[in-house]
Amino acid sequence: MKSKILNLTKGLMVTFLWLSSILMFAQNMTVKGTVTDNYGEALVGVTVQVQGTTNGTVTDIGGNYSITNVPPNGTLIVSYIGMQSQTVAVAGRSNINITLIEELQSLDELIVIGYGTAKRKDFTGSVSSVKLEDSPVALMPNMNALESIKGNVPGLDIGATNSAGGEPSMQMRGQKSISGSNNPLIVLDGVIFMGSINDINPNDIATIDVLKDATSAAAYGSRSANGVITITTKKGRSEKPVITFNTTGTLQSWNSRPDLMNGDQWIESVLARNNSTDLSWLKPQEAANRDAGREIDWLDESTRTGWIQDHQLSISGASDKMNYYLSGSYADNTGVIIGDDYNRLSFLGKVNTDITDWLEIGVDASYTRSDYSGVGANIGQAFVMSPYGVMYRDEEQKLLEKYPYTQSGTNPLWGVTNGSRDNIDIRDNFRANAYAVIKLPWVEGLSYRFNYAGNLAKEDRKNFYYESHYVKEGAYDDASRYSPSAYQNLLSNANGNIDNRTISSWVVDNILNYVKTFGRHSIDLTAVATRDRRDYYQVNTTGSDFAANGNTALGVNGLHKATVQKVNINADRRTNIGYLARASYSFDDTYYLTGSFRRDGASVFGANQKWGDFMAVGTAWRISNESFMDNVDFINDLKLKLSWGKNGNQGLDPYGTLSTVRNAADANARYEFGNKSDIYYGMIPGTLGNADLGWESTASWNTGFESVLLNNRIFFDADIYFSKTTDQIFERNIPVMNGFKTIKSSLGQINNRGVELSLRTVNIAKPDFTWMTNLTFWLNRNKLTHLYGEDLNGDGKEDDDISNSRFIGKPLGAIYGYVQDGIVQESDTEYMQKNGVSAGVPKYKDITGEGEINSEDREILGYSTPSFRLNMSNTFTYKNFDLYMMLTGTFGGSGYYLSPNREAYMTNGSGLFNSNSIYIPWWTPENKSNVYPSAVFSGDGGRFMGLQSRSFLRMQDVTLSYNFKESWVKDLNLQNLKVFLTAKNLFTITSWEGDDPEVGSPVRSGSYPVLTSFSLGANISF
Amino acid sequence: MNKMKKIKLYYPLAILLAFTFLAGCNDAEFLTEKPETFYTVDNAFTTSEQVDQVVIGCYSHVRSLFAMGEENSTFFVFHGNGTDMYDVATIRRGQRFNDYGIITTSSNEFNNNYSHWYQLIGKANLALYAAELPQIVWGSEESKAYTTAQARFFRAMSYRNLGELYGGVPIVTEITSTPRYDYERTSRLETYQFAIDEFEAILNDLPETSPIAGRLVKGAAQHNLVQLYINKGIELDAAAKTTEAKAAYEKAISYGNDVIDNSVYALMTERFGTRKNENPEYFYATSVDKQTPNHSYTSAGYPIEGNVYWDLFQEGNQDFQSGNKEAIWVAQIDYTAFKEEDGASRLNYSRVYGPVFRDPMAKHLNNTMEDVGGRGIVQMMPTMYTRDIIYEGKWGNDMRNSEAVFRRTFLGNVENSPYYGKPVPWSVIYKVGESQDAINAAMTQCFPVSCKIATDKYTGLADGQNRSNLFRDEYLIRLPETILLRAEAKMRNGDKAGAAADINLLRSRAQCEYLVTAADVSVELILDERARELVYEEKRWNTLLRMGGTIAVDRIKEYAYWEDPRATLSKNFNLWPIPQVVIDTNKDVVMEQNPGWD
Repeated sequence: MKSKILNLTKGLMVTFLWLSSILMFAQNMTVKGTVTDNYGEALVGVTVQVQGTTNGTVTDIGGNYSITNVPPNGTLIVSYIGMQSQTVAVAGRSNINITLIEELQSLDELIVIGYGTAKRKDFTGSVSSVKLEDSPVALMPNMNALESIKGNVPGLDIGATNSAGGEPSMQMRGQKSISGSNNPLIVLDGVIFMGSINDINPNDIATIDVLKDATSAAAYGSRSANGVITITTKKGRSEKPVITFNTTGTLQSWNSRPDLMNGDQWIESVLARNNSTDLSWLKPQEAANRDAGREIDWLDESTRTGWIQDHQLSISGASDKMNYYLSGSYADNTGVIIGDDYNRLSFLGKVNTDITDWLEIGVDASYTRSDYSGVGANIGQAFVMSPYGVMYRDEEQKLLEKYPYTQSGTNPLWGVTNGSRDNIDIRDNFRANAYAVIKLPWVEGLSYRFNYAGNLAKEDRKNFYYESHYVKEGAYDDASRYSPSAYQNLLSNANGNIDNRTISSWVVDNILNYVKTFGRHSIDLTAVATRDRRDYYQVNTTGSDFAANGNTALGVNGLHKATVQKVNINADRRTNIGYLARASYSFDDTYYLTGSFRRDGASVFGANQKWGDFMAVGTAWRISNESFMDNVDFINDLKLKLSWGKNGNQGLDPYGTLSTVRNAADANARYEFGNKSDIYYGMIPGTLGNADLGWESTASWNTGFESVLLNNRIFFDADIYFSKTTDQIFERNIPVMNGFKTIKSSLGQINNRGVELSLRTVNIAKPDFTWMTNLTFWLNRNKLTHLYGEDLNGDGKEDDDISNSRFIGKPLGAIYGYVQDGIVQESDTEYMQKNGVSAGVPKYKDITGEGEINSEDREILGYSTPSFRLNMSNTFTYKNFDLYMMLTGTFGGSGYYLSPNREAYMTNGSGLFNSNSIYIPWWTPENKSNVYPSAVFSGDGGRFMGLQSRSFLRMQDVTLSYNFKESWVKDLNLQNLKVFLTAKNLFTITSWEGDDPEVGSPVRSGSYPVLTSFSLGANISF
Repeated sequence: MNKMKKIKLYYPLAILLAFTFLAGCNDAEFLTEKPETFYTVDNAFTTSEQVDQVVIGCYSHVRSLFAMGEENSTFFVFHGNGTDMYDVATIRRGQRFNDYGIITTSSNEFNNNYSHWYQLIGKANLALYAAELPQIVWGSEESKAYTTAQARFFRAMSYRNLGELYGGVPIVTEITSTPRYDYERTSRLETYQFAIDEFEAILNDLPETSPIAGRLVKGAAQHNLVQLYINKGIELDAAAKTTEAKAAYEKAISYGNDVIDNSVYALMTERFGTRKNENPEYFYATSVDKQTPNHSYTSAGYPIEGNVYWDLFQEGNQDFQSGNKEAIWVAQIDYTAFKEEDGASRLNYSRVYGPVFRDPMAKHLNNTMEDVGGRGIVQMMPTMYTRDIIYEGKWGNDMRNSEAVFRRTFLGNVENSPYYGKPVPWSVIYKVGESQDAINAAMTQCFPVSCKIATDKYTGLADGQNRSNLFRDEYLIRLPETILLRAEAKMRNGDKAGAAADINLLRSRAQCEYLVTAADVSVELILDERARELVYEEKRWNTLLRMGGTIAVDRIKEYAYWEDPRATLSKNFNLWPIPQVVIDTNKDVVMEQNPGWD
């Protein structure tokens, strides 16, 4: 293939033709006209400008404009917020009326596909685009780009973010890999992005295109089985430089914070669960607080009002030959949980320019500094602390008590606010891209593009625990525990580490593209050779025991003074090579066909399996272009599409196929001979390698349609897909006589199928008032069809893997166990006798009917995966006001979207006899319950699960903005002034208890909350 | 003209293009993985030192197995949970291991335990493989012989344990490079025989004594041979091969003589070691500041007298090299190493085995100080058999049942308790007369405390240790066990008088009033004496299962604290099951399950 391409280029050189431009000269003139929308309503304040000049005007109240000094061969640019910009050739006309089309999903809009772009109308695959620039979603205080598209892309599940600077999970069209990554590939400005998504400033993003089906993603064959998210950053749009300043301030709160038991409830609960009336275990200070009526709500004490400030300044501009975009931003998030902080400083600069008519070059560079320093309060401890515990040791409330109550539990703020611990976590990311596009002159439409993308991430993480961190447990009034001499005795406990990580990567793409239209035929051919490499290097230095040094005044920077110092180095490298050929053909804008083939090599695979072949074919039919559709008036556009393809997933980490030997500290096999304290390091077998491990591959079908109906008032798209993922890489049990229990193997198959619907409607379109609705719905079902291919029990069917809850023919995420049937009541004498239990414990269904509950009575109780998701957003525009509301919902039902939440039902079972939690109306003989077990019930070896549905409906985003179009805005030389109010996660409707349903962690899990936030901000450009 | 120029300009670009497409030549190299910070089997070994490092890995593994390296049910079971000697407390019912409604061939405890032995065998095989690599240069033939002898010891020891617990198992003597699925079980006798042959083959490569505490010596192999020949004899007896069995017992006695009657080892009979001039002292106190002389047990009128058996379990006293003549093989534990980085260098016995007076007895015996046995969380508790029954009647007067060794007097430490500073009666501790639930909670969480699992002087308190861990070395083989094995061999060989004489070696040392007679000698007596001498030391499941017959099942049913086995133990087994996952994964050859587990 390589040599063929070379021959082709040589051949083309011979047929080279150069077209010179034709220049026209003429006298300038005045142009007048009216600008209306597609309902004929006049548009006020539309900018009309002569291209390439600063000469321009705006339309008056009647939509009329008049512009002088226009060259007859010039071009007008007509732009208006919320409408698609238009360029109109003057062509000597003095009266030009213009109709602007609302900027919804436009058919001519370009979408980013692998190694190129395509017009949406010409595309055969399934792509969802979210335009962030100037959209209400962009006004939300999202710290992460993924949060911005949450709910807007059918088929893409974005998880919740519950920590400052946290990254949400993501999954496209269901779980395909059992143990490999299910993360989509991220492509930034056309190049595979190997950094952290947190390093992309959401404010810099123009659009996000999500490639979902096999043909769309096929360009990235090797890593695209989970879909591809392509991010395009902003660029300059007008000749006049535009300076934009965006600023928001956000308040955050823990909206549905669980109510912990108060002191009386807690005492009642502790006594009940221990079946006792004795209170002698209360520490003297707890008893004193109780007598004095002093109580602490530890969740209250561990939280505060969160605050985000986010400021961005950008400058952009464009001319015929050049386009630039520069931005700098600063965001700071003081989280709701005390100590949970994050801030980010980022800069982006992009320039591209046409050097000559055949050469375009571009560079862009960005720098991001993220600071995750600090330790968040321990919410798990806050949950269990005694309400009568002691927060401070002094009247001034300055000195924290480490052990606030009876149990050895430590104060949730210990190490957070008392200065006994330092934590520094700063991550710098440098990215530089350069590209060159050469329009090869021999054939019109032939171009060559070279991309280089480099990324360097430096993470500097430091931790230090001072001796004071290790204060010993003791009597509350024993202040000697906190005395200098006690601290001095603890110096040997002081320790810290410096963890430096460097992640560097580069991508090189060589892209050859040929686009040509012959009459009604169009072709687009692409050939790509690409390589990338990612290196990870970590040096972790630990130091402990400062007794010999005498103090820890230098903190982590005195690590070299520690008596014991260790260094640990980790490094890995992954490399990829890909060769792609793709051809697209269309006839008469009606029939489309795309095919692609990609051959990929990846270093992570076994020596025998480095290479894989991937291919895809897609076809589309624009049925609305057919003559027989001419009199079907209500259909403006209708395209049917069908695609098939096979893509891969790298379900392995580097070196995952090698047989390793572990030694030194890494082996964790130390020994001390003799009575000296010398540590000897053992060497032990690590893992058993498998040189035959190869690609997990997913073959999928996609079919659907895209339509525009009722005079551009309804946009309705639907997709149906089926996918089959084979050669799953996972740990497989082998006979331990080999010396190893497991080996990584390629086995098994998972099928996914699903439906995705997207409906946008323009409900009302009046000059002063528009109302648009966007509904997305998606549903995915997956099914494990093969596992290890073994039938050991001889029933003629492939065996399930019960221990890992993997059942053939069932979805992943099956929950297997005993069917709960309420609570055992005193009248259930037979049940109690047969099972040796007493009243008040959970009761289970006796499926086998033999009276006793045993392992035969287990069955699949449900699935942790959701049934479907449904989101609705509404945009109302009234005069200068915009209101955007997004409701998102994830739904269970029929056993879907369940999770165990034992702690929502059990008074006992925390492992601590007097832990606090939420109040539970436990079963008593007097106060029978069929839901809550008795207070003494502390679990039954995992039988009781307390399954709850996680279904929820959430008001995810609300933004209300006001766009100043008053004349004083112009007088101030402002191009645009917008102020806005937003609310995020305003409310959530769910029956899940305790924590957030989307996070799905049970009561008392200690996980951080999903926050509600309100912000106020402004966008100013001039 | 113009045209010509441009063609020239593009020419280099075409070459660039060609170059980039041709760059594929070194694709294979670009994709080859070369790990830089760790070793693979292919590049790990260059020196003989590294072979010894693999052996050190074996020592470390053995310490983890025998000194409760992990705090989980698998380890509790290996240390005797579910036998006649240990059961669980009310608050640990979730990990009970004698409810045969729950125990199945798929129980993790079996699979984890079984796997540990084969992983240890894998390590030993790796050492033996590496020892023979051509690039390895040995300082001397002796050093090579000693290194490989140690590796073979660990392998043989694993097969002895496997044979005792699971019966005949596949013999694996080489490392795996591609997984096999066709292992075949051998017979139990063959498994024992493999271990015997190995131990005998390395006897002369092991030194009589070693200057390095913890390294393997000949006595350790001989001790194993005593046990293996008894095991072999029991198997032969069961197959009615009496003559051959007798020969085996005689071999056992002979190896026993080698250990017991030579001049290297001897029972300690006089006070010795780090605390030989001290007595244990406790304080009835719920905090450190109250541990003052006026709260001492002595001042309250309950002084405790130290003795030699107590000395055996004091920190610093376990190594042969430091003068303990009954230490044959000792797992090395060191507090400094623990603090530094070896978290496995500790005995978490106070935590795992320790009682929880503070919960049911909070009114009288609160907190987690020395007087209540430290910071126990009672993962396992001694059955009434272990704590009381074996001392009933004439057996009670025994140093091993003395206050210093097996502490039964607890002075109330809660100020407003009527027993403050006075012994809390056991009828109060056991909540006699209260509800059965209360009694069960009390009896299973409160019990006498052995000096093997707790101490009056915890190491590391100043550094923040919290009375969970002991930092003494731990016996892997102590001479009394060899003596009890020889007694058993003599008994099985028909020499009851000889057996009684052996047992009396221990009873005399323990200054027991009652010495046994030939007429007393029986399997039960051996088991009782093992319980008295080796409580918290012997691996009781191994003992019960290797003896065969219905001994294990009968005794579990007799002595378990909870009713579960009496209600559910209908299986008649004298071997643990081959773990289901092992049978399932060994797909190319059917491995038969052990009797009673089908």
